[in-house]
Amino acid sequence: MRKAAVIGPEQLYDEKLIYIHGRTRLLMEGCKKVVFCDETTVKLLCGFNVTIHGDGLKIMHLGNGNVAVDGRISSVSFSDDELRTVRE
Amino acid sequence: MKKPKSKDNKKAIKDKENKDKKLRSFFPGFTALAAGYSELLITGKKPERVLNLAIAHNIDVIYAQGYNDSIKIAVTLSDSARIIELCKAENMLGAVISENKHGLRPFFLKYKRRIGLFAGIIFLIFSLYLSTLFIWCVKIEGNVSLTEEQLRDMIRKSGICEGGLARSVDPDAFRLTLITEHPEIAFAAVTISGTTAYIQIAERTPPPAKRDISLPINLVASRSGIIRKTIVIRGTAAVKAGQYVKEGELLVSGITALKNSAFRIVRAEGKIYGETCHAPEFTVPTQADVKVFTGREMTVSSLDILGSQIPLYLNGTCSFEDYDVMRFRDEAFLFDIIELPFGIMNRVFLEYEIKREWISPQRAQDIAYDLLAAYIKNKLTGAEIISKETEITCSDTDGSVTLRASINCIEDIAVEKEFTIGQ
Repeated sequence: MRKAAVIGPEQLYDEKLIYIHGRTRLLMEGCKKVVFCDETTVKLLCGFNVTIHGDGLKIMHLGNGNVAVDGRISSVSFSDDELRTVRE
Repeated sequence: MKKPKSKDNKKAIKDKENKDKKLRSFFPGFTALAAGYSELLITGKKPERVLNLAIAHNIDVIYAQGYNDSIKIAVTLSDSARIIELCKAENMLGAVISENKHGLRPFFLKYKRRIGLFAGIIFLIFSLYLSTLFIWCVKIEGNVSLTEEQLRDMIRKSGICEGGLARSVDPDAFRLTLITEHPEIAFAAVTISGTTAYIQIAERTPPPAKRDISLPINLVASRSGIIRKTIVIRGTAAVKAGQYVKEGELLVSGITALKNSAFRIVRAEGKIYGETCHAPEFTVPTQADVKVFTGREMTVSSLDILGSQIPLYLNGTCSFEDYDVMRFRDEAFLFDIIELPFGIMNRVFLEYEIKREWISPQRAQDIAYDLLAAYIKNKLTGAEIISKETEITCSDTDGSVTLRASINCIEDIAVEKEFTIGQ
């Protein structure tokens, strides 16, 4: 029987928390940079890239590293290539 | 069950999405709205840089939406100047193409010298608050025999009327006062919702009148006929079965003979069934003047304030010769909740003409038979019909149809008739 993965407190503090409420809201902490932002794509950088695809996307709050993205979210993807941007 | 078309379905989904979009449109929150915020439209290459500037300088962004080559952001009024300065410093000169200030604070700052405007706003708010303290509309339900005017007079004494103070109304006291002072009302309740007082009334059903059996009353025949059956509850029967009686003839006497040549006067009671003949006649004309609406109509509006009408236009009269009038009242509401004490009374005048129309003899015959059926239903209720003969004739002069019927039936022919001693 496989053992359930256990995350230690140290690991948990290092991680950036991302909350997704249904398909309409994404909350993320530790945002360092907004790489790209338009109605269909929002790309955020928080140690790694978080790309949100959807429709009518907008940033509803940005401050203290916290960001809230509202809209009809169709996909959320993660990547490590910090230097690449959507525009390139 | 009919399956909805996929095209309609897609349209419905799209409409819903658009609606959701509108709902999710930028609403900065009450705090930002009260404190005021600035909306900046930034264009140029990589407009997202302004967001990164905000992150780097700990500036809170209320919202941001990116477009192809531009981005719209909202920040507080104090942060707005900082952002513009930072844009200039970061060689983004000319990037900010527009700045719009929203919220209450910019509004007040913009009109800070217009004292009259603020006085008007304060007066409006105070007036709105003051208006909610009074009853502006009284609605009465449940009255049957009592008219609304009578009830309004009754409840006016309790302080419930247009213009009365809503807080001064005590529902329990009102109910008790109305019931005790007006015995014709069995139940009363008042509910004040906003500026409207709803009065619920239930009228008392009067008990059946008590029959005074000591009254001197005879039973006489209402129609001529042959007596078939007699049921005498009180009094002395004056007829027997098989006997022919004429209309008005005594059937049961209210004088009851006792021993020793004495008599007692009572209220005669009983049922006397007699075989009678009814001969109703119905004439239906084949031509009649009927009202035909021409389709032309005219609406005259007036302002209805607390029951009085103020014409809204100078031509407040109707130019039609013959017309019917329909009245509609459009109630006025404040914020769709508070009913205002005025409304628009619309009078719609519908023009009509009197035209002579002809009906076929067959149709006239049907109408005559309908009249006969109505006669049997209304006049011969409870009667046992023995035979029924009908005869239809058509007039040569005006073409009218006449139905003559002869109905033999057994019915109760006894009716009460008061008499006096010595008659």
